[in-house]
Amino acid sequence: MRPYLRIFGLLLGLAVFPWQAAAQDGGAAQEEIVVETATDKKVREVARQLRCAVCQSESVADSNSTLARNMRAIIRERVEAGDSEEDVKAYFVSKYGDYILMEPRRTGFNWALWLFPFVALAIGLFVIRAKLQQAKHAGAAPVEAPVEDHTQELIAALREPAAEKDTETK
Amino acid sequence: MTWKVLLIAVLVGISGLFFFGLGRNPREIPSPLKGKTAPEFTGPKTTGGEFSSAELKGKVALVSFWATWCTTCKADEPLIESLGAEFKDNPDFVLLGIATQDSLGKVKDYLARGNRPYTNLFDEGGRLAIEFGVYGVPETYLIDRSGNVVDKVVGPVNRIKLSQQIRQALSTAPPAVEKKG
Repeated sequence: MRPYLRIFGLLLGLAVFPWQAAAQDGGAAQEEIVVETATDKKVREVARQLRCAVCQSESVADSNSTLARNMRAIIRERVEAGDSEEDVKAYFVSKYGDYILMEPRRTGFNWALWLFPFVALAIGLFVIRAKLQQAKHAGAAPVEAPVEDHTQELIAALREPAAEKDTETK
Repeated sequence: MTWKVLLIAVLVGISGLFFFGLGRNPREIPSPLKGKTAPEFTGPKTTGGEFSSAELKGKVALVSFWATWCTTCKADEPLIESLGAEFKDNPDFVLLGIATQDSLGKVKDYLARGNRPYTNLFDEGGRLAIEFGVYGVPETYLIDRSGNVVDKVVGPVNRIKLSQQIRQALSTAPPAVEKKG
């Protein structure tokens, strides 16, 4: 083989190699996404319900912090050992308290958290209704628009010459 | 008129909760372990061998979670060490360090430079930290003779307060040992 052909072949091989490697990586990545076992799903579901204690409103499933990764490993271990979702959640609650749950449990004082938005909405609607009714009743009776003192003086001054003219003509 | 009273009551309530919230550290999560039995654990010592929480039975223990990358831990270090020095002659007091969220190599290098001169464990995978409900470092736990968590401190310790708490814990009698037979 001629030397320039050999060099061309080498360059072509180098150019194609990264594409081949990437295609292989892509294939592996695709395989990882497709193959999700029942355990994976359960781990993700539990992790989604637990709060990452070092993040801002982020679940253990979404966070990539060290604590979240360690927690996911423990969730997996417990799920594989046959623990139910509630068992795994109860374990983390026993260590971190109710704070670790993304949704506060519907017990005791937590009911106040769940009910407060609805109570606030009901109070708001009640206040609006009361105000509307008040305005409706007030609208039934004729109301004189408030007139400031100096405006009243001006009106009186304008009326005065007209009244004098009337008496003169009579 | 009644709705006005109701509205004012609700506003006062919300303001009360708001001011109550302002008085708290938003980063501090109250530990459910306080007043309860400390978790039982075993872990590898950085010097080799295993450490078991059974070794703390009947003793007062100060357990400090730390990491080499944590700057607050470095500020906390002399306070913890001074407490260790204060009670070093008392055989019923144990000072234990647990390096977490770190690599063993870095921890060993750090300790080899003479830092934290007491028993230290390496927390592989952060399991011990999660057992104690640790979410950041430094966090320090005081465990009494009965194995109950007396207090949890997030961030640098208050040396004077912790010293008093240790004294108080040491002053109580060890729990009675069950006799067999």
